[in-house]
Amino acid sequence: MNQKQLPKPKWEEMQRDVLMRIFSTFSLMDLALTVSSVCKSWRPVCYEPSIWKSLDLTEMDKFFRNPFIPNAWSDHKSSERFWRILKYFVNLSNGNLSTMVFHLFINIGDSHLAYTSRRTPKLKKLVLPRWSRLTEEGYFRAFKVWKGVESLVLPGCNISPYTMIKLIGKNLKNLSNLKIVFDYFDKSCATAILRFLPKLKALSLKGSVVERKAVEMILDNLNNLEELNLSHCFIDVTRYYPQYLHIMDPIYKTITRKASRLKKFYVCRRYNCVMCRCEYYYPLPHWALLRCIGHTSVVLAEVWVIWDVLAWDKVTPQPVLDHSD
Amino acid sequence: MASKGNLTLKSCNGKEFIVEEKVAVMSTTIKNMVDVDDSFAQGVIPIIGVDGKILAKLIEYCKEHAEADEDEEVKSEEYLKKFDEKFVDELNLNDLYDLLKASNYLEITKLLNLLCQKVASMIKGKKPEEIRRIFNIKNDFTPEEEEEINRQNPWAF
Repeated sequence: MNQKQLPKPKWEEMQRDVLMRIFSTFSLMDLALTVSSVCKSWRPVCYEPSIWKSLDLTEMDKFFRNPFIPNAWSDHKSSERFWRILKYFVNLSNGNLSTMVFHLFINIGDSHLAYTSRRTPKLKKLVLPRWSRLTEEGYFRAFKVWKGVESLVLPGCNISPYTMIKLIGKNLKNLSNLKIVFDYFDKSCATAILRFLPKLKALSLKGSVVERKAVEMILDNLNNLEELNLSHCFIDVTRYYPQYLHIMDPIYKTITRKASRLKKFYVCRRYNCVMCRCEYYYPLPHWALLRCIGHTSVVLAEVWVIWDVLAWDKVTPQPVLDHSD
Repeated sequence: MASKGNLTLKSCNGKEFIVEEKVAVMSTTIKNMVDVDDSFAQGVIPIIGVDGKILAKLIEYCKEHAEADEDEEVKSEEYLKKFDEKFVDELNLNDLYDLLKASNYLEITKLLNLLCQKVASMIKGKKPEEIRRIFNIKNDFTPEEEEEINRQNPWAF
């Protein structure tokens, strides 16, 4: 058959909606920093506001040299630089962001949060950094704007847990999913959750030290709860005589029994969890460890826990536990 | 119009394909044509801008998926996944381009998503020059414009 030689495909001339469909799977950093400089016709498609849905600042690692230390980017010069990066991306998104992930290691202040919140009123999901200079006032102002947030990840906060939960509960009325790391999850934290966040559907305390009674309170009284994550958690009876026991130890069977009403309940299997096994080798309680080995190593251990907490977001957790164990 | 009847699809270079209706209506465009006008159901449906080779590929894909939708036991999800993988792996760049255009025109959403994923995976993590090389794209920025872009990028600050 006499077939005409087909012209070479011109990817530059691909239809706009097809390109948008392809680009919608990319991160904003990829779009703005690489794909947009491929050719003239691709560039405007990269800046289409409707594909600017999610901004993940952890991807900065791909483009900038990032020190993996707490309080990174907090000195004057790099803080200025971070400001420019944040402004650039938040402004490009044109108020369309529904997911915002702050970099875990980048220390932010009230002004960063205020700037971001004013420009992202449609936010649904928010991940805050571990170390920050945020104050109660700063949280309050930002949360007032972010009314629609449904899912919040708070790897650490520098105000008292009770105040924090109160702030969250009073402002984020639609919140159904909360991941939070407590230094010590005691009865006052549990009371705060019961009082201010009674509609919570999913709660993750991954990596926290928890009090047994507090967990039982949550399980008994938080009626809408469908999902509880206690992986990498350590449990003790009182704050001052901590027994760092694994949550799956037999004496805590009450917790697993009570958790059987939940749809999902995550705990680590006792011997195959790398994170927990590491803790087993340190029979010292947390505070003694802090004093003995010094601040740095604890911080490092913490970084690991936190990193894991965030990773849980992206990967389906493996240790889904059978209730019978 | 017989609901289980066959349809005839004609490519732009004159090749005709007889396919079952359930296969053809995987394409929303064809479905709308058949729904609106009965004469299409009996006659020949011209598929403008799609040549025989590409149309054959489209039909191959739709056939597998239409059958899977009807009978899940014979063609399980796993089987389909493998089929999809093989299907996109065998495509060269030209076919990929033509299929993308055709599936967009015919609105075969499943296939379109599959192909977009494939293209996205080819772009991800690459530098602009590499992307241009892979897709044969000419760099149409002038040096001045390129400089401007680099200056705007926040890492340049």
